[in-house]
This record gives sequence, C-alpha cells and structure tokens, in this order.
Amino acid sequence: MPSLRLLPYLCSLGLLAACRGATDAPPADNGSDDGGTLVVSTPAEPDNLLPPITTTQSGHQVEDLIFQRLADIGGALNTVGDSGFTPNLARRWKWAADSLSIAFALDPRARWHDGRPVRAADVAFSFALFTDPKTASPTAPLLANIDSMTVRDSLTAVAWFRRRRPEQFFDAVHQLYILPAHLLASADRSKLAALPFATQPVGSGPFRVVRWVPNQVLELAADTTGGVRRAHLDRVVFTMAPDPVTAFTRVATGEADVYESVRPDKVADVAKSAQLRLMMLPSLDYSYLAFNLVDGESGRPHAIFGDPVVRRALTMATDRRGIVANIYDSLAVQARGPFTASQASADPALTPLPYAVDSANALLDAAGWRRGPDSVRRKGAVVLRFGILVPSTSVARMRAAVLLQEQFRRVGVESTVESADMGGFVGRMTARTFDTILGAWNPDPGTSGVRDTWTSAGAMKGGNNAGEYRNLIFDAHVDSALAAFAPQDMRAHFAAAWRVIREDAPAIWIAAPRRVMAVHSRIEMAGMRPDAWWAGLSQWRIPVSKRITRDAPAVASGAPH
Amino acid sequence: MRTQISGGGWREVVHRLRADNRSVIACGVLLLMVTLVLVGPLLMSSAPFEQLDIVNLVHAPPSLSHPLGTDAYSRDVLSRVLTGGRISLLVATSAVLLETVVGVMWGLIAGLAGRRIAAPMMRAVDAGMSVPRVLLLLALLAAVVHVPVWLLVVVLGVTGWFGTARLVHGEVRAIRHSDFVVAARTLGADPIRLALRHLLPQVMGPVLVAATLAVGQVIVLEAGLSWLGIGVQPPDPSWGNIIGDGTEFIASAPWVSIAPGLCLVVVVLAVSALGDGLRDALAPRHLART
Amino acid sequence: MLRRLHRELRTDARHTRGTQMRALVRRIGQGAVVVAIVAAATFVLVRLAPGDPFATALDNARLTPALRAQWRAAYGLDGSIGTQFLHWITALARGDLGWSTSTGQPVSAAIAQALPHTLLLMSVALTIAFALGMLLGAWQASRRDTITDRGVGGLTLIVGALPDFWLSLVILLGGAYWLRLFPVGGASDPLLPLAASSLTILVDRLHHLVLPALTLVLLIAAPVARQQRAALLDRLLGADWVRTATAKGVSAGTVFRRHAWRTALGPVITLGGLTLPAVVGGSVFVERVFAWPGMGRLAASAIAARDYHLVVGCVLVGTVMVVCGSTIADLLAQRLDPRVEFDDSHPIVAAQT
Repeated sequence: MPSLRLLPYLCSLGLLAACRGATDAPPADNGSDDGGTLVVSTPAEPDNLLPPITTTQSGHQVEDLIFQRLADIGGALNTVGDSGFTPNLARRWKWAADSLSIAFALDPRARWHDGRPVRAADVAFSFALFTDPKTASPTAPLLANIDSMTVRDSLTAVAWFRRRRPEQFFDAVHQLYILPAHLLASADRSKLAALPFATQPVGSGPFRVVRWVPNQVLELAADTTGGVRRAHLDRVVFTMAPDPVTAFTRVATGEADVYESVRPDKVADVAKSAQLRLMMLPSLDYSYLAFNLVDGESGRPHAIFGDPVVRRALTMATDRRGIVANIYDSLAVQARGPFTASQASADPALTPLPYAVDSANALLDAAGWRRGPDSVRRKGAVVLRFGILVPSTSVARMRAAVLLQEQFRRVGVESTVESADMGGFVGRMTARTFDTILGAWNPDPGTSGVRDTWTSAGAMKGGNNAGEYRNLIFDAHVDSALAAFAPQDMRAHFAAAWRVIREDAPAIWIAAPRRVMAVHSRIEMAGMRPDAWWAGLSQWRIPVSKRITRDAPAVASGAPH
Repeated sequence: MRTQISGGGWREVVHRLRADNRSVIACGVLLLMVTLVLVGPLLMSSAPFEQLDIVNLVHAPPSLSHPLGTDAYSRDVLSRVLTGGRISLLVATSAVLLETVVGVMWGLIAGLAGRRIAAPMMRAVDAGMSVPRVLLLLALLAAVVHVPVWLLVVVLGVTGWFGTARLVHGEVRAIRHSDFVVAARTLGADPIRLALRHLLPQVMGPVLVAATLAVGQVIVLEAGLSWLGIGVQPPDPSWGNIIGDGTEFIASAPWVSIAPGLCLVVVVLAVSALGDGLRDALAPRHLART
Repeated sequence: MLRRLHRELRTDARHTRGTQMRALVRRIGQGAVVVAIVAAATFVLVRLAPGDPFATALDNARLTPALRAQWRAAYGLDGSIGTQFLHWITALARGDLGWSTSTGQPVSAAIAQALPHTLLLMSVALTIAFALGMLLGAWQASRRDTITDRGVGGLTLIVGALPDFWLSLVILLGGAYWLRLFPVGGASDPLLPLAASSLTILVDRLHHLVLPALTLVLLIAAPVARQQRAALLDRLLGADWVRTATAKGVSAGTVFRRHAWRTALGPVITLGGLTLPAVVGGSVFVERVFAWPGMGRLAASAIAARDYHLVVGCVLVGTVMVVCGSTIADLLAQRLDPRVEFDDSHPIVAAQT
C-alpha cells in the first residue's frame, strides 16, 4: 500500500521532532547578558528598506532598528519643544537665539555598518534626498518647515527652519532617517526602488540586515562595527505568514516569540499559557466611518451626506460601545474623535454623540427622510441607501461593517458592504469613488497628523481627508493649536476643534484599540512606546538562565561578524 | 464512451435511474434539502441578518432557543444556514447552468465549424484552462466595485465553461464523421437543426455528469472566495461565508462552521451520487451495447 | 511485387513521420497563440481594477496625487494600455519581465524564488495523490458494489468535497498546534544555520513539506480514485476482449493486473494534464494557510497589491509551462495508445469515444 512507503519518513520525522524538543537545555553561560534570538511573527511585509520611499508600517519598523535618527521621542510622546527627546545620533544640540536654527553635535563614535564614520555631510545629504522632488518621497511634505540642513564642521549639522513652531524639533528629528552619502550620492533619485540598497540597506543603527528573503524571512543581527555593540540581542528575525491565524499559531507553539496584534478571542489562551506573556499597550490607532461629503461628479454637497443633521442622526443610530465590545471585547475603547488618549491633543472631557435610536429616527423624519413601504427611507427620488467600503484584509473593520449595516437597517437605512482588497481600497479612497469608507489611521506621534487627515488642507483631490470635510472654524482651531507653544493653549484649541467636529459629524468615530501582544515569557522588554512597541528593541534582553535552543550563539549561524 | 440516445432513449435512462437505489436516495436527499431551504427560513423566529445582542449573545452554544447557537454577530446560525442554503444552491445551480450552456454552445459551434473558426475558438478554451481558476476569479472580482449575487454567478460561470466546451467539441468532432451525420449533411440538412436534434442529445450525457459534479465544486469554490472576503457579501448568508466566518473560531465556537460544512458535504455527496447514477444510466456496461 | 510493397511501406512510414512532425509544429504554434491570448488578457484585466501599485499600505497612505503621478511615470504606468503593452513586449523580447513593486526585485527573480517551491510541493503531492488514487480506484473496481467499495467511495467523496482552506487550517492546527509534530507552515526553518549539513537541510525541508502535501494529497487523491474506478469499470466490463479473455478462462484478477493499466492510463493522463495549471500555479488557499512561498501565494498577493508586472509574469510563466506540459502529455498518450491521433482536436477526448 502506498501509505506504507511514507511510514519510515513519518517515523524519522517524528523522532526528529522529539529530539528537537529534548535539546531545550540552555547553552553554556558566556558570562555576559548579550545574546539571544528574537523571532517576530508577522503577516505584513516591508515594501522596501529605503526610508524616503517606504510606505509600509512594517518597513518603518525595520528602518527604526537599522537606521538612526538625530534624536528619539520619549515614551510620553511629548513632541513640543525638545525636552521629551533623548539623544541618538546627535549627542547634544544647541538652539540659535532666534530659534530658527538648531545645531546638532554628532556622536563621533557613530559608524555605518560598513565601517565608515558617520559625518554631518550624511545628515545634510539625507535631508536633500528626502526633499528632492525627483525622489518623490511621501515624507517630503512633513519636512516642509525645514528650509535646509547645512554642515558646520564634520561633526556638526545645522537645521534651518522657515518658522518657529511648537513641533519644529520633532519635524527635524522624527521623519529624517540618516542615510549614508557615500553609498547613495551617485544614485538616480527617480529610480531609488531599483537600487540594491533598497533591499540590502546599510545604516548606522544597532541592528544590520543579514538577509531578506521576500515573503519569508527578514533577519537582522546586532551590529558590532568598530567593536561597539549597541544591542543585547544577537539576532532579530521577522518571519512572514500571510494568514493571521498561521502567524499567531507560530507564537502559540513557541516557534516565534512575538505576535503584535492578538485577537480578543485568543487573549484567554495567551493569558493561560505559561510560556507566553500578554502585553497590553496604549496605541495611536483609531477607526472611523467617514461619509463622502461631496458628490463625485458635480462637486456639490452629497445628496445624502451633505446635511449635517443626517450625519448626526446616523451617528446616534449606532451603538458604538456595543460594536467595540463585540469586536474587541475589553481591549478597545470607543473613539471620541480623531485622536486617542495617548496623544497630547486628547480631550478627556469630550463626550461623543449619544446612542439614541429614537432621536435618530426623529431627526431623520424631521429632515424629510420618510420610510417607504419597504421601510427604507426616501426623500423624493433619493433613497437613503449607500455602500460601506471596507478593506477585506482588516478583520476588525469587516466586523464593524456588518454590525453597522444592521444598526443602520433598524432606522430605515439600507447599506451594502463593499469589501475591496488593499489596492482597490486605497485606489477608491484616493479617487473618492465611495459613499462611506471604514478607515483607520495609524498616525505619527505628535499632533499635526490631524491637519493631513481632517482639515481642508488634506481635502484636495487625492489627499488623506477622504470625505473632503471642510470647515474653516475647525481648520482655524487646529491651526491655532498647532501654533501654540503653551501646552494648555494647545489643549484648549484642540478641545474646541473636537467639539466642532463632533457637531459636524463628518465621520462616525468607532474604536481606539489597545495594542495587545503575545510575547514569550523569557524575553525582558524595555522602551516600548504607544506608537512603536519596537522602539527600545536594542534594550531587550534574554537572561542566560532562560535561553532556549534558538538563542544559541550567532557563531553557529555562519553569519559574518 | 459512446452515449447514444435515440428517441425513446431518455425514457429508458430515467427508468434505469429510478431502478438504481443510490440515485433515488440521492434525489430524495436533494429534494429534502431544497424543501428545507425553501420552507425553513419561513418558520424561523429570527431573521438571518438579525443581530440579537452584540455584546452578550455572541457565540452562544446550541440551546433550545438557538438550536445551532449564534455566531460572532449574535445571529441565529440555524436561520443563517437555511437561508444560506437558498443562496448557495441558487448560486451553484445558476453558475453551473451558465457554464454548461456557454460550454455546450461553444463546443457545438467549434465542433461543427471549419478549422479557421474552430481553431481560434479552441485556443481560447486552452487559454482559459491554463490559468488557475482561483487566480482568474481574484483578478476579475478585483476589477469590480460592488459584487451583487448575480455578478458572482456570472463570474463563476464565465470561469468554468472551458472543460465543458472541450468535452463537447471532442464529442462532436468524433461523431461528425459518423454515417448518419454525413448522410444528413449530404441530404442538405440545416446545420442548426442537425446540431440541435441529433448532436445535442448525444453529447448531453457526459455533459450532464460533469455538470452535476460541478455543482459541488462551485459551492466549495464560493466558500473559498468568501473566506478571502470576495464571495457573497454581508448580510446575505451563504454556506461558504458562514464557514469562512466560523473558520477562525474553529476551536472556540465549532458549531458555526460545522453545520454549513455538513450541509455542503451532504449536497456534494448527493449530487455526486446522482452524477454517478446518471453516468451508469446513460452507458450501461452490463448490457454490452455496440 | 514484394519490393514495391516494401517501398510503399517505407514511404508510408516516412509520410506518417512527416505528418507527425507537421502536427507537432502546428501544436507548438497553437501553444504560442494560447500564451499570447492569456498574457494580453491578464495585462488588460489587472489594469482595470481600481488602485495602483503605490502606497497600498492601508493606514499611512501619504501619497499626494502629484507624487502618485510622478511614481506612475517613473514606473512606466502613465501611458495608455496600448503603449504600456508595447513597452512590455519589447522588454520581454530582451528577456526582461519588468520590476515587481511589491517585492522590490525584478519579476524574474521573484518568480525564480517562488516557482521551485510550488513545483516541489505540487509534484510530491500529485505523485503521491495519483499513486494513492489509482491504487484506491483499482481496489474499489475489483470489489465493485461491495460494502468496501461503497464505503471507500463515500469517504473519497466527502474528503474531496471539503473546502481547501478549511482542510488546510484543520490539518495545520492539528499537526502543528495540537499535536506539535510539525512546524507551523513555511518551507524551511528560518533559523537553520547557514553552515548546516545537507542532510539537516533536507530533513528540515521534508519536515515542512509533510502537512501541506498531506492536505493536497487528500484533496486530489479522492477525485483521482473516483475517475480511476469509473475508467476501469468503463473499459473492462463489457469490452469485447475482456469477455474473450474471461471466456478463455483467464481470471478477472489477471485481466486487471495485466491489461487494465495501459488502457486505463489514458484518462489518468488526461486528468494529470488538467492538473497542470495547478502544478505550476500552485493552490492559492493551501499556500496561504501554510505560508508556503510558492507561485499561488505570489500571484494572489500580487493581484491585491496591484503589482501588474508580477501578475502578468506569473501568469505568463505558468501558461508557458502548462502548454509545454500538455503537449508532452499528449505525446505520451499517443505513444501509449496509438489509436490516438495527434492533432488539434484534443486527441485524448477522441480516444475516449
């Protein structure tokens, strides 16, 4: 029988599996705390590793580890002024008297992974590369307040600003990864994606890229150039699996150490497991259902959503707390506006529009939308019917769409769920070919993201203000908030802005989830930030006494030191 | 496998089918299933889209009030499975009907036509068969903004007729040189009438068998598409998307995916048994015909 | 007279060979047409979908329309579909399949990485599935209409009816999570030392191959078994020569063992030919669940990422291999059963009638 043919293989594989399990004894103590391998299991994959042209979150995640910035934000995410920042490539900095320039003194020990020293010329070059129109970097608009970066001497770079702004230090520091001029100066800036550097980058950060097999594995190793080692771990390995269930199972079986978004129904399993630790962190994400306020063809206000009364009614018809509880259990709170509690712009006192189905019905009736014979509301010839555009890859948002659909149905509103793949979702969002869109933002730390996503500045064709919400009062409040140097002024202006947007209801704010991670219990973490749990990865360590087979010294891996 | 059926042939085929126990049981099961899905939803107390209590009644295990429990949105699973049966069976039979009609027509025309017309037609068939069906579906559905059920049927049908066309083409080519066809053409018979009255019954045998098998294949395919998020869209249930929704919770709430899975398997079994029975009825070997 | 006969036979043989050569050449030409149709259709189809290859990251789309237009121009996506097609054809003539935006490497490199994995998985799975299926089908045929036959038949129907993704998940969770006997997806261990011995690498690969191959074997062996059983029963029961043999006293078992294979192999080869697209294209569902880095997964994610060149490249490579494979399969079938004519009216079907 053919199955017998497989029997010897099965036996030997079974033996092999058993043998592997048995060698979990810790390797010999080498005296220091350095060492260990961290395996991160993720369904996402970077698009490339060249910061000016990277558009994926996973790409930035890796870039944070292999490149350096001039300074890093602290865990409190204080982006006003420079007190909330810790030195990185720049050891110290000095403001000019008029605050229109900052001189950064670089760390003389900083080295590129190929051994060359990092110089101020690299800083100036990086800025030029990011802002060159030929590069067409999506980050360039965020560096608009910086006029130029010049070299004062080989270890001092000066950033020159156009205007004083509360977040001007953040502007100069956060978006700008420092890149090696000696490797990229001669590159064709309009074809950066084709460079070998884009997949085999050379940075100056605590980790360097060992290998990247697309769709499979990305391996980083602690950089020891010049004899200085800045990371405790030997290796960080990202393994990719397109299906989230597979990616999570890798952590559940111990094949991987970190999974960064545990689903609510798996939380109990992780909590019970002795091998895993459940970590819950604040995050900056929030999701929303935005209404398309403009009628695509005519440019006039939308027939249904142009009326703020309808928008408020639709908001009040939805039980947002129930939706959040259904999708996330207790791992998320209801979003009250385009912000989360971890941001400086948050207003803890803001109450969202209530869940009141009767009021919703009354408002819709008063606005002229009457129920027809099929109990769907109509106003003249227009039926209160619309589509909800959802990305099929986001489980949480697909759930929210179905829940919202039913709640709309109860007040006489007919909606269809339109699920699109990644390319289709972003394509339709930028082309504005949707009625309502279930979006989510993962904003940068800092407060200026809202200008991009909810003010008139972001409403132009293709901008991130997908529903094209335009309210000059809201814009004015946001501008004032972003120009305010005193924290209480900023908060007051933002609070006023949030009240305006609450009454206007251009979107239904849905959830602000926490980041729930499953981490192997032997790992000691440090430096996690709400916007980047991996921020302090160079400080993570694995105590010698708890090491397992895969933490064996890197010598065995054949990776060059 | 020659399947000659003359005038009284169909009556004989039906007679043989009725004599075959397996086919009778299969028919019975299918009829029962169809009755269930047509009548069942009318008897249910909660509608398939009704979310009863999205906080407290999520993934409730089977009980008296909810014989198959509730799903992730607190909807009654039994109600969804019965209504979903309507949509799944409808989608499957319509898609298979479409692909059979298109395939048979394409194959007939290509089989009867001269080489100049037939060759490009069959190359198109080869082209269609060389691309994996799922990829073709992914590409087609990505190009569409909104996927209503009828469009899903069309897309499924349009990607599945290649095998039938090739089958029919082969059969027609094989018998176009047979005596009676040559005789009919020499006598000046109208080709369309020829095709419909004489060729069509000959080729319908294997085509019918393939079609019955295809029904099961399409139901399973729609399940896969729903799992990827591009099948029947919410809130409409289909066995496919109920299984897709429930797959993630296989360990914590197995009742969501087991019920539609069982229905799917039962239908596929019955339909395949019917197909086998049809094949035996159309070409009985023990009678040693020539 | 004998000499004339001899000469006639020789001319006949040469004539037949000549016809066969012409038929082969014609077949190759038709294959080229098929490839051209598929490539052109895919080229147009992917560009019809909304969206483009840039900033398909959902949560941080910061590309303004101006930037997007610039990127489109840089990647050659700003002309009409016709112009783009012309560029692609001229590049293809140079052997350049274009640049893959979603994997950051040339399309040929991405395919070269993925194709061997799919070929490995599918050929192992298909070989075992066909062997298992044929044996099972023959076993069933020899015990026709007994309880074993009905039971096994029902089992093959049920297994063949299970949805791919569901079975993959159940096998993955069963084998890797509940039983902890096998790794959780992937084609190889990412932590395996580069200096590991070839034996370790081989065993590791096999270890990773078991679960996805098992899933595919279960899904494929079932219909093969049913087809084989039906084909054997078609050919053997009622066929003249079988009746003659049994009348002469040869046992049914011997008839099966000695003669069943040759004639029953034909439909199996047809079935094999029909599975060719899957051999090269891979199974989208199985590869996704098992994180198998093959062509199915590559093509599916390329469609979602609107990586136009990669989609067309995958489909092109797949179609070329399928066309070559089916031509070879037809040649094989002709060798096995000389009654088959090797022409463009699909010889296998002709032989079946």
